[in-house]
Amino acid sequence: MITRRVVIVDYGAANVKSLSSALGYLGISHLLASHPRELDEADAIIIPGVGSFGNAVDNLSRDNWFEEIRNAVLVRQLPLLGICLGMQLLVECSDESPGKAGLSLISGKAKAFGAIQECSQVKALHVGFNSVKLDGYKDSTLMYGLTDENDFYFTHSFYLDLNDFGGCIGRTNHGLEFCSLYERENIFGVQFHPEKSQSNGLRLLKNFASFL
Amino acid sequence: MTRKKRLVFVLLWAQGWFVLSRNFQLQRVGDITWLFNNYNFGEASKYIDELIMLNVGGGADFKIFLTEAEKVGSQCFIPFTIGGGIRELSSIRECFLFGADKVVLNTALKTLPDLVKHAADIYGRQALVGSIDIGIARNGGYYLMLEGKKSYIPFSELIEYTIQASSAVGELIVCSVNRDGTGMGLDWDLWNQIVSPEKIVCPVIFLGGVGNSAHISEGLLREDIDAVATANLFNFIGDGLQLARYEVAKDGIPIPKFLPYDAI
Repeated sequence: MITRRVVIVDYGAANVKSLSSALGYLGISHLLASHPRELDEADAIIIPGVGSFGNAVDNLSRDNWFEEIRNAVLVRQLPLLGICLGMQLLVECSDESPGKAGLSLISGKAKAFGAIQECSQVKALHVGFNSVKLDGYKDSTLMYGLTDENDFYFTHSFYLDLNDFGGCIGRTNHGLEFCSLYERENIFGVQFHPEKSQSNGLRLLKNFASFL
Repeated sequence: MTRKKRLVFVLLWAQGWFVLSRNFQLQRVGDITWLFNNYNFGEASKYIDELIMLNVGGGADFKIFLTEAEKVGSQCFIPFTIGGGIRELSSIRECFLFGADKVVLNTALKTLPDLVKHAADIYGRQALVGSIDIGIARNGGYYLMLEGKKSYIPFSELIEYTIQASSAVGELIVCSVNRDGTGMGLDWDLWNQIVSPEKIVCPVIFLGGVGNSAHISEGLLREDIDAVATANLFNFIGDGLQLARYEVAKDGIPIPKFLPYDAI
């Protein structure tokens, strides 16, 4: 029997341990990949992320991650889940790091909460549990078994401003409403940390792994 | 803003033992095997929003602490914060390597401001949690607990310190030494005297004295309190945290709603 597995792109971002623990708890076979050739073993891919867009792009640019991830997603049609900074890496660019290009798998850019007029010091960061409200018209793979409004753990200071409205099926409010859950075909993105969101996050990861 | 309030649990660890604290006097309770097998902490942790684990044994045994913290953190799928006796950047880095999402700075917050700034520059303010332990002596004098000892501080300086600290870190834990471990409820005298909500620029977690869910609700109902924490293992033994969470939600407090674990 062939073991189908999730490959976590381990490009030097923190928190792969928590994600690995979560997948382990769910009995989902996975491996931490420190080199793109390990994507050959993948049946699904997770890009985690903590830290700055620019640093992440630099780390991914080594060893040809960009081309291998795009090939796996666009040609081999593997399901891909971007988590937090990992979701932001799916777009074209980020105001956090001008001049650095993301994977461009989703059309849009990342912007700073702090750039909004009259933004207080507290509001420039979005840290804590907040609700993800689902668009009533579309079914969500990741939220299957959850309700229309679910709480997850966020910790970020940039949000995604997408051109693809159709793909954004979950929104969260932090001064403004931003896309916190994206699903289109085999590309998935969550701005929150499912591995830090108790049973809600575990259910979501289980739903993602249902592709395996 | 629709961010939720938090119910935070604090595990106090000293030299291989999880301990109870009362007015900062420690009493050994059990080791990590006891915590998971007898106390069933893995189950209890499903009913909290955040876990803090502190090395309160005087900063010694840091490597052992980190190893045990990593084991604890890997069993819980919530934000995990650790600290205790941190004085160097390398220690902060190690905390993250061992699975922490955030690191607590207490004495260092007061005595090593350059370390705090440097760590904030590297890891971001949101990765740092400041902790201030405040007591009021019989003669009315205020003191901080620094390196396990009372350090008296003039009232105005204390106020100034809390305000300044709030802009150096992502959030603050304010702990009442007088109420610590007493189960008598949160220290509202202390809060009202010391904490100036208009001037504190980060979320605050209030700790010290929680005995039951009513104390938790009382704290979370206040606009200027972001989270209530308890370190009291025995007040919430068995299904105590599950029941407390249920009561707090029933009181209409917006804490996160999670699926039952058996519905995953």
